[in-house]
Amino acid sequence: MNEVPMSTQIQHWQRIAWCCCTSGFAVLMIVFFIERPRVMESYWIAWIFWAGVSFGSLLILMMHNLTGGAWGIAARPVAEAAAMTLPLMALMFLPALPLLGDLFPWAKPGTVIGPHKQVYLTPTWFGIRGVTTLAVLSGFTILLGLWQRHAPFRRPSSQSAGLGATALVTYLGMMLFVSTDWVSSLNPGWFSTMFVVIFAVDHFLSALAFTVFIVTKFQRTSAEVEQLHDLGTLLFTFVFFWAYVTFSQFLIIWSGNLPREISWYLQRSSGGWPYVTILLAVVQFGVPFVLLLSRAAKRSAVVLGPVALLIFCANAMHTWWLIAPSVQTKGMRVPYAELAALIGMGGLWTAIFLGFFKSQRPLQVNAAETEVAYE
Amino acid sequence: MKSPVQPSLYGLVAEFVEPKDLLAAVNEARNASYSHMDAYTPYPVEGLAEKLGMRSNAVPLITLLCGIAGGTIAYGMQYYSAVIDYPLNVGGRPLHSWPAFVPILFELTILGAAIGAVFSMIFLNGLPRLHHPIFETPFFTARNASRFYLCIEACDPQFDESKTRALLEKQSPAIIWEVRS
Repeated sequence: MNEVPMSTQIQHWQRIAWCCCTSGFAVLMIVFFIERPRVMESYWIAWIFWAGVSFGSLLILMMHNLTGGAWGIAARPVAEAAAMTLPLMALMFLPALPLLGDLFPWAKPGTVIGPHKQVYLTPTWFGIRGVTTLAVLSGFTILLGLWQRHAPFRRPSSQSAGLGATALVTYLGMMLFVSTDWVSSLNPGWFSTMFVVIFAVDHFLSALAFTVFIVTKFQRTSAEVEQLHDLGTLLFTFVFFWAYVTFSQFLIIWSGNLPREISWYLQRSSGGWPYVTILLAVVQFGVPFVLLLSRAAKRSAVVLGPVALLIFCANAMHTWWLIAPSVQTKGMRVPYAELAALIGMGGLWTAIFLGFFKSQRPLQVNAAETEVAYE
Repeated sequence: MKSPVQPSLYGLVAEFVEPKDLLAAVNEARNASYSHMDAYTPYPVEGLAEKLGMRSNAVPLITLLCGIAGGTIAYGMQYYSAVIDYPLNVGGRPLHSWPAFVPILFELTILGAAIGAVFSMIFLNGLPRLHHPIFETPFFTARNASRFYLCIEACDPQFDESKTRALLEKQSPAIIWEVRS
């Protein structure tokens, strides 16, 4: 077999990623002079999505710290490299701060949003909450990374489980605030107690889909069928969980039918958005659900890889669907700037990820460690 | 007709001390194209089910069908009652308000699939069943629960009492026993 060595393959993909990064951001730069508010919107969609992949990778690591399991042998190296991009995504949050007024209604001068919200939703507090969250999560990433360097596949000890549990609880607590700030507050009058769950599940699902895709792409030979089966089952579970939480938010708001709540769904059911909604239900739930029902599909890298990629792309579309309709109130616009931003940010993210992934030591687990992981 | 005096032969059972001996014996029997045999072990032995020729079963398919049936019944029942049999205006919503039907659709799909999985597993395993000829084997008791057994059944077309016994003896089992029923 004339297999290209993996480091060469990764370098090749890294070059492509840098090209995507520069061309994506170049397009965004041009848009800046034509349609300035569009740039902030696109940048924000891209940032929310790709930062979500970093958060989700951290979630995967925390969860594996708590539960253990053989699926970590294949997934951990990928998730670790992906989580290491979190500090970078934290830095990419800062350029958005001066442009908040282009996107958030409450940040526009002269907007009245009610006495209590007026105090909470200010650019200063938005910045403080965002920076705190990103700093704490970056701290957890670095801690987990250092921890894992010592003993990659050790049986979950009470300490590593404790770190995982602490990080998980902290993450969810912080998401409660930032999911409101970053996405819900685009409609300052709207709120949903389910939204933070949808936000967190999006992170986990996108990171899991990314991890599975990379495992099937770069570790096809070393990942065992049993591990692929576990990862496929996890993916199936979270696809279903995603559908469950997104639908239950809709069902509750649809049943109540209150003007200040249903308005969020009305924005998404006119001007071209219904097609996106239906497409989303098909590609992020319907197709993966039916395909992953099959045991044979979950055990085959050839099927699992494309399904994971489909879920990942659908997740990006979901982020667009969560943000853009709140801004483009006069109907959907051709998402060229949004796509450019997603590609640009994605190129940057992927290039950094591949850099970390390349320097991961090769996945060589001896039989004893595998035995421990399987317990 | 079974004679009460001389019970018919059910099969030959061989006892092995190590799981690898059992696997070797299963291999040998399969090479001699036996197909009606079963193994009895104190814990799952990896690769044994595949070697015995149990490649797939009907449980996943039955589970899927029962799940689809449950979902269809759930949706059909709600559609029939809300739209056809007892149309009622609730908050000005359309009679066919599908979002409200989804929780029941979900629940009954899961219920159908779960019932299908559990009961098809039980029935396809041949349960409920009060007795099995293998219980007649005197050493097949809790006392010997750490041993591994291979039973080649008499209903196998290849079965010939002396030849099968010779094949099993070649594997040097601890004991060979005739099971009668």
